[in-house]
Amino acid sequence: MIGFIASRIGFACLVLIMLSGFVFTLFFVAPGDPARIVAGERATEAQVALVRENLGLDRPVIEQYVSFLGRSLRGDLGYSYRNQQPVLELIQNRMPATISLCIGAVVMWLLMGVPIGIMSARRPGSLQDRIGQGFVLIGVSFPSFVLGMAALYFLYFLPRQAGFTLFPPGGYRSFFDNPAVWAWHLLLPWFTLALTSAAIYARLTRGQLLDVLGEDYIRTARAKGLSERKVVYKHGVRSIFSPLATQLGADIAALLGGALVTEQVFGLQGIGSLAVQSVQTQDRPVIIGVVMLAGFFIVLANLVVDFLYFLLDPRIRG
Amino acid sequence: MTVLSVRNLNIDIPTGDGDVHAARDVSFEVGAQELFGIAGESGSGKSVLSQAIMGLLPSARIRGEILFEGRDLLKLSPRQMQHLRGDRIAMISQDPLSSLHPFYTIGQQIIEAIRTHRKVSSRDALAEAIDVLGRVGIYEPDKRVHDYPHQFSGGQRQRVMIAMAIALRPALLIADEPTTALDVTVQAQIIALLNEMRRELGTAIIMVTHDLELLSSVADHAMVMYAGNRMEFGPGDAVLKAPSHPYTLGLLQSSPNQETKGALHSIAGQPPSLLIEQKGCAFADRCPAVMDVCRNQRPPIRQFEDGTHSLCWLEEKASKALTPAQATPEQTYTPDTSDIVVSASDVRLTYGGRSLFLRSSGVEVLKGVSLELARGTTLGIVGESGCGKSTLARIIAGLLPPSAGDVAIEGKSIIDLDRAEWVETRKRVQMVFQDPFGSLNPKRRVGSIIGDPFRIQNVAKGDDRRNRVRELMELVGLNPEHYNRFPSEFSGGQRQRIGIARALALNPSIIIFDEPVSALDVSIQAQILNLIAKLQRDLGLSYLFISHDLAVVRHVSAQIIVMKDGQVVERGATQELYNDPQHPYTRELLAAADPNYRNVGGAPGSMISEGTVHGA
Repeated sequence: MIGFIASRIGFACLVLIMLSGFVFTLFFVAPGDPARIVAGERATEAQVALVRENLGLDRPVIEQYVSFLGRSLRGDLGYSYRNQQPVLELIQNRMPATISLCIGAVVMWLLMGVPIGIMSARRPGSLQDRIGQGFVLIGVSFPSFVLGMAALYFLYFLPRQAGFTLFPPGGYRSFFDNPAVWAWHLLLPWFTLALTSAAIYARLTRGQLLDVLGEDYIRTARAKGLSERKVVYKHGVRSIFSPLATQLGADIAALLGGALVTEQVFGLQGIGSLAVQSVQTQDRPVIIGVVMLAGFFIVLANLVVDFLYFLLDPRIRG
Repeated sequence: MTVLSVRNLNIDIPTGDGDVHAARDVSFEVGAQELFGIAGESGSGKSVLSQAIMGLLPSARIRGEILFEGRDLLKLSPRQMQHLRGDRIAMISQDPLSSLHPFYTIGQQIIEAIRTHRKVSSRDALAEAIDVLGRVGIYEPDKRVHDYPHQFSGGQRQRVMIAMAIALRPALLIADEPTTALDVTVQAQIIALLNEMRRELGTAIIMVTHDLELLSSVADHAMVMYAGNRMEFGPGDAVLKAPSHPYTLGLLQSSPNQETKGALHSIAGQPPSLLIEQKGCAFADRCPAVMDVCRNQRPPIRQFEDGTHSLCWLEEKASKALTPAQATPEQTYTPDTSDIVVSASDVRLTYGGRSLFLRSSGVEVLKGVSLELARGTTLGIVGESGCGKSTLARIIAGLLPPSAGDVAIEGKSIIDLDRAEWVETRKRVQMVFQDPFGSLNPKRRVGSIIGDPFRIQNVAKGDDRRNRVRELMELVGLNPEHYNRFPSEFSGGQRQRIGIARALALNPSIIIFDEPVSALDVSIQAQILNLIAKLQRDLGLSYLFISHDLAVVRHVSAQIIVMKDGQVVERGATQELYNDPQHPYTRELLAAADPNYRNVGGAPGSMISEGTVHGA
């Protein structure tokens, strides 16, 4: 067990180092001179050279990479070219919005998707299954920006025109100031993110559960005289935790790396909008920081999922 | 005392293609402590029948009566049925590997069964679970009760299933193919255990199986089903010794045994589709004694003095009315045994041992196996699951490199071949696999599956290839007009013919059969075994024949090797090996496969013998 975890962590570190090397080279072989961007349009050659020296951009790429790695390990991801703020601080400021968005959306889509999937799987082909399948089709067909715009139009703009505020247009309020206001501001983005994913989870749950309900051990459970509810939930649903955890791990990791579209639509100052802004301004240290953060979350999620497998499935425990 | 009485049961199951008529006018009675056997091939309706009794066929239309302890189960509400299930009627099913929930300990699962029907504390339920596990022969039950199913071997899991089923002392236990997925030595133990339990607890047992011989050796009464009909019914030994229905007779003659030599008697044709309502006798199309009346009118039930009943127009027992099938005189076929085509010497294989960060010692699957196969003969390889026989086959076929040792095909080593030589070897050695359903790509037409070897080896193109494929189809007894059909349109036996045709395409000299008939019904199995034997005579092929079924291996092989734990424990000419086995394991295998032996309840002490623990 300890050997297994150690090997997984070692592998995770290796992936992160390779990712950093990849992102780093990508930006230094890409066209455009960062020193000129930092120095500004009207800077003289001498000023640009000075900036280049200050940023260490005149040193060989390998040397820059090694010193970048060394500083990263100490928690120093460099400074934004644009406003000289530490990258780590920028990311820290943006995390609460992204984490809030992620947690709420995940809870919401699980509460919608999994029950719909279970309902469908219990009676395949029935009316309730068809309704569930209809929901899935609608959910996966809408791109999130359309959903977001529609939500804003119907739930913010129209009521606003009618003279009252049903939902705010966006923005992020801290949870610690007032949880109710926090949730009120996030409800629309949560819903926007959750609907598509709920559809995907409904489909996943239905498919997995249908397979499981055809297993011999489900027949054994029925033959024992268990109620149908116990058969489905205690014996059936228990078996689909592992595939759900796999999907959930990947989805949460992707969300924590920034929900680009939703954050833009609702004006949330999260990691996603930070990524968009830094790409637009060619702010390389920030881009590298955001990419590494996303990579870190994905690697971490995989570790957690592996560990969950271990807890969920006695066969892996050995 | 009658525990269960089924009267005129008809079961129709609605499907997308129409109603499946799964049972037709089936009646039988089971008394307390009785072991009642239901035999039949796949699709005969035997499993549907047992599920109907359990009330586990929610969508089916069921007519007739199922009287259990005086109540008609068909009139009970789903809730009332649920209370009976697990308490008064219990079930154990075919595959103990998949019938236990992998995520709960066996203790949790047994306790759940107990507490569903009895108001007892979990502590008392645990004590009861430990007690019942001890009864079914699980060693150290107080410790093993907290283990998960994967920590038990197949035989032990079936014991756990039995423990769970008998924990509440049901009046009736339905065992659906309880031993089919198990090795022969374990089969005998499980049958003995079931026998012991019914005597001890007074439980009536309905045993559903495709193995007629097994049934007749243990069952008080037996019923033979075919296409949803009860063809024959009677005392177990009477049904086996003097079958009254032509179908039963045909089944018995199809099974290879000590006396069979040469071609096996086989029942021609395929079972009828259950989607079509039968007018006359369901077996008419395949019956050797068919009369005009059989096709138009439902046959009457004939009763005979020895207590057997037969659904047949014949007025006499089939065993009397029909002249015993003429054993085809053995063809004088004496191959030259001095020409060795396959020789393996000291083949070893070790799995595992290395990963990116970890190191372990690895698992030794083959521990030095040697064998020689003479041209034109068949070498049988017998062993139970996990003994390494299939791995050995893959190594000899060149699909898997051994860790050590050498394999030579027609005098030429096949270890470390380059690509061209490897392709060349494929023309000499071919394989036929066990699962006729899983080993054919369902999305490709049969013609292109059989023609694949021509395409890959670049031998024949266009019309030439098409003609050759048609010839092959004819050779293995398939209709060449079915060239463009998909595998799903063929039955299991026909699919195995497709597999054989594909193997024959390049005129190989050696074919490796890995359990070629174990997924087939007896009557179909006989057809395939006859085909395999005929091809050997006609084409001078050499066979490696791998099976767990001793009767089948004995029938086809001239030489046999017995494997256990990756080693050869005994080898020799078939007759000598069967008449005078030297190794204790060979003796154990033979004893377990002999129905007469099962009758007396297994070897003394075998009841408590425990299999190896897997995965621990």
